[in-house]
Amino acid sequence: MEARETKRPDPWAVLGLDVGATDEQVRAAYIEKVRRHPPDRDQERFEQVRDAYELLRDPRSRAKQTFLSADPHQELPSLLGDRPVRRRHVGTGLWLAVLKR
Amino acid sequence: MTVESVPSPSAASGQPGAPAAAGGAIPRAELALVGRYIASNDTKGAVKKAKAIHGHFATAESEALLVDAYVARIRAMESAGMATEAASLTELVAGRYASAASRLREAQAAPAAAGNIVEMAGELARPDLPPERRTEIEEAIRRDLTELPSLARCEALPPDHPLRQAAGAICRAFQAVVTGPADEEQLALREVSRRSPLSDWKLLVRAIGCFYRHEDDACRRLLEAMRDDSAAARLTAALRAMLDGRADGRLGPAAAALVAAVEGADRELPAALADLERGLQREDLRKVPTLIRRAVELCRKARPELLDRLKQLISVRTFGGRISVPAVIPAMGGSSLHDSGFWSLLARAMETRGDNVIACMFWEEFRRHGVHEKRFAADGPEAVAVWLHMTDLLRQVSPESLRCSREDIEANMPTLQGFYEGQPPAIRALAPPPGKRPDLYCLYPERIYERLCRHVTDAEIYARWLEHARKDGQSCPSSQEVAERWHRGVATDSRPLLFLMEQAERRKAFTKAMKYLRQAEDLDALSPAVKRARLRLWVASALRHLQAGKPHLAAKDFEALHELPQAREGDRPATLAGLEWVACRQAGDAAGAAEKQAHLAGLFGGQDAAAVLLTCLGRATAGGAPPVPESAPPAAGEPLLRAVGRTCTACRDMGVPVMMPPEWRRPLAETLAGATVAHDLPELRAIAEGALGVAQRDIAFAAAGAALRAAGPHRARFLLLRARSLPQRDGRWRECLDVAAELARRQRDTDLLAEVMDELGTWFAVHRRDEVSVAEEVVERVLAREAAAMPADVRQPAVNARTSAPARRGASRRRQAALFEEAFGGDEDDYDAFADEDDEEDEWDGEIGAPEVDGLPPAEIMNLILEIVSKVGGSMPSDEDMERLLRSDAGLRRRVERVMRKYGQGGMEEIIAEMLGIGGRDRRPKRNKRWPFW
Repeated sequence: MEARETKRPDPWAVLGLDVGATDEQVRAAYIEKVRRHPPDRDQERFEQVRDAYELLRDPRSRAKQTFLSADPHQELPSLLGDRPVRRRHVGTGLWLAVLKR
Repeated sequence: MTVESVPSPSAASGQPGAPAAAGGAIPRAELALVGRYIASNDTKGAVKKAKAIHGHFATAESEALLVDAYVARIRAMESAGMATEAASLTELVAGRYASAASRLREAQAAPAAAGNIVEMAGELARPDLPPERRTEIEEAIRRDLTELPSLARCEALPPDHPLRQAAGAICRAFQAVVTGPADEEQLALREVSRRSPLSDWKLLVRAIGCFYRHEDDACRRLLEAMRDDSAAARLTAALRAMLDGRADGRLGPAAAALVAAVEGADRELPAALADLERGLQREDLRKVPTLIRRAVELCRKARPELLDRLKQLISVRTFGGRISVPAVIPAMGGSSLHDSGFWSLLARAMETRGDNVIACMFWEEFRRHGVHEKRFAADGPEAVAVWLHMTDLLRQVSPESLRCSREDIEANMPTLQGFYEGQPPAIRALAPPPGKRPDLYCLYPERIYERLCRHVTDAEIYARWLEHARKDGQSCPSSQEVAERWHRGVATDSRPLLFLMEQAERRKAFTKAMKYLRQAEDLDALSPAVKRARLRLWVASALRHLQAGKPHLAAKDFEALHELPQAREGDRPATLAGLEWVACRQAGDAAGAAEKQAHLAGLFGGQDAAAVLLTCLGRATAGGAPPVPESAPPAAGEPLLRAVGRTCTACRDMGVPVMMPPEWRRPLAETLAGATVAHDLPELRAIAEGALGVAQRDIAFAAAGAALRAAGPHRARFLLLRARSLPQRDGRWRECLDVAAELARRQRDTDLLAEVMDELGTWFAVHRRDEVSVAEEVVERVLAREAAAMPADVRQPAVNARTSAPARRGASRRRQAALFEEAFGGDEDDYDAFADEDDEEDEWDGEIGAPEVDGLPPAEIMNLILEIVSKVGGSMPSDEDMERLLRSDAGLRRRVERVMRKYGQGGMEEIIAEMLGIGGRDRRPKRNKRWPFW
């Protein structure tokens, strides 16, 4: 069959959780997402939220999602995340050296 | 070309300190190095380095850099009291480098200018100073004064003079903002007024504060507000280079040193990782080690907390690939850390390559390390999840392939000892003893289930174990033993008892079966499954007695059935009457048989339907000549279809096999194929399932098609039935199942989804079907195609291939046929049959039913095999040929990997072995050639 498969959304991302969140965090995130995307207003999103919750509510299933989240094909630049470039404090010496002609 | 875009010469050449080719811009790292020498007062080192750079680049930029280094050297000599030497050096430099003259004059004037300005500032204390002179002095301060501490200490001005106060405040604020986080209060600089000649310094200090707080827009605005000719503006170029990630013009060595120190590797790391990513994707053997080295070095400097992860990803990405271990490990500066994170990455990588068996081994390593690292408990839900995941992976491999893989691994695979070399003690603690193979229990589903059931008492785990034991006839313990363990482990579950009951019934141990049934009823008498079990047990007993020609014994079964309340539901009385009719006919009781037939006609909707039921029951119960009802069943058309539908439903409900006469197959298939209105869906399902139960695939195919022509949620179930009516090597089999799974997922029908997954796992391995979706357009296409497909018996006769085949296909078909003739041998008749089928191919697509060419796998495997055969000159490839091809042809290797992922490694090897006469059970590919150790 030709390329016709699309990966389902990552349940952690759907609920806005870090991988390995606890029971309480999962439940709280689910409630909050359902409030934001009720079934009568945003059916598609609601179903995604519900599917994600089904996967993460059970400890065993949640554990499986945790260790299956390891992605060996992760693009290397994505390792850096969104953290901005670090800017180190280097003292006055190097700054003042630039001022000298 | 900007400074930023030029890679470090040391990275490009792989040798530290080696400059790049002549010409071109000097890499910023080299500039920064000279700047660092100057800043640390190692002016001799600065000159030496600058000379080397200029010697290699020989550009105006490199000359300017060298002159800057000499200026710093001259100043250092003057500071050390070596005035004569300084003057000689100045003369030498001015004479040798034409561009040096003005720079040297500037440099010589700077200290004097600074000293003069501070002296001039003293005049500002005079109250009678003319305004023009005041303006002139203030302007000189604004443009040229960089030694603010001198101004702050200027004794010619009173201590409370605003200029002295301002200079002191700026010095303190500057010190604070470049040595650590500074708050707003520290940078307020209320002492510096807007009109002060030091106002640009105030903007600069605040801009630096914004810079460190990552308030880049505010920083840029402050820099824009500064006057370009102010002394403070000498720092704006460096700040902008850091904000923008590149320099607009030439950055001097001091500025380059500042930028390198403040941002350094952080700025270069994303580009280095992107380069490495590209190199890995292209498997660029030449460049990847260098790219790895650079990325690792920059990561170590900029993001040391990510270094382990980066090395693990590199290890996993290059594992088993074309880039060899001896090249990668030194480039990384040593092995990656083989902790639980590493093993989970490696296991997932094996899964994505379709190598589920090896993936299980690596998941076991993940589990061991996870427990050791206290990431999870040895008997916690995480460990259970890992074991269950292993069983899911193994379930996707056919039992035969799994056995072959195990034998291969046990015979050929080295230990995992190599993975532990060079690892820290905490990890080496888990290394297997030297020479000892790892415990391969993880490759035996039954052993995994055994461990699981030791750790947790979970009926669903027992259920999966039992399912495995049922499918794998060679599994130990047997399904009987598993059911018994289940019953002991979960005494409140009636399911194992029902299974034991069925097993006893199959062995004709009726008393034992009843014993199990009674136990199940004690647990849960109201369960529909238990109630149905009692009904089926008696019906099965009656069937057996009738099949044995003992109607008198069947009579006792009928008595018991009549007493069951559940036997009075639905069409069950009719089926019972039908069985009693059979008994009467066997006993020679014609009157009784007629009475039963009449009673049945009244219950079952008429003589036609009754005749159909009796015909099927007669065939199901009679070994020789089945009894025939007095009235003939309908010959064809809707009446036959309806009667058959109701019969199938009734029989399946009671567990009676549906045995339709062969002469009904074509009329039924034609009626189903021509149906334009959806029939009763439960009846269509019963027809399809009944037909599959007795291997009448074409009827099942037609029944599924009739149901698929109507929209509705039932289509998932009927796609599954359609798939079951197709041969497993037909590509449409997989497509139907994939779409059925997608529809089941959408409907949240977990039972149906489980059935589809089971069906998928019976032959070719699947690649993580539980986490992929099928796009809507594909779903619609498959549904439309299957709804329109006709069963083979009904399609139009094929056009004669020899008279109508388009010429343009002739050559490729002849070549294909020739290759297969060589592969298979075979006479001309085989060749002709093959050509006929190929020439009908266009007619088949989307119109005619499932093309079935016995003995040939799906088209894409065929094409791949043809490609392989043609690459070795049209003859059968040997193992060495295959290995050489796969090593040298990346494109072919990718195609093979893709097909193996799709159809299962075990299946692919078997197919290639069978088709080409290579490998096979005695010559399986050696796995140890794919085991580089880290």
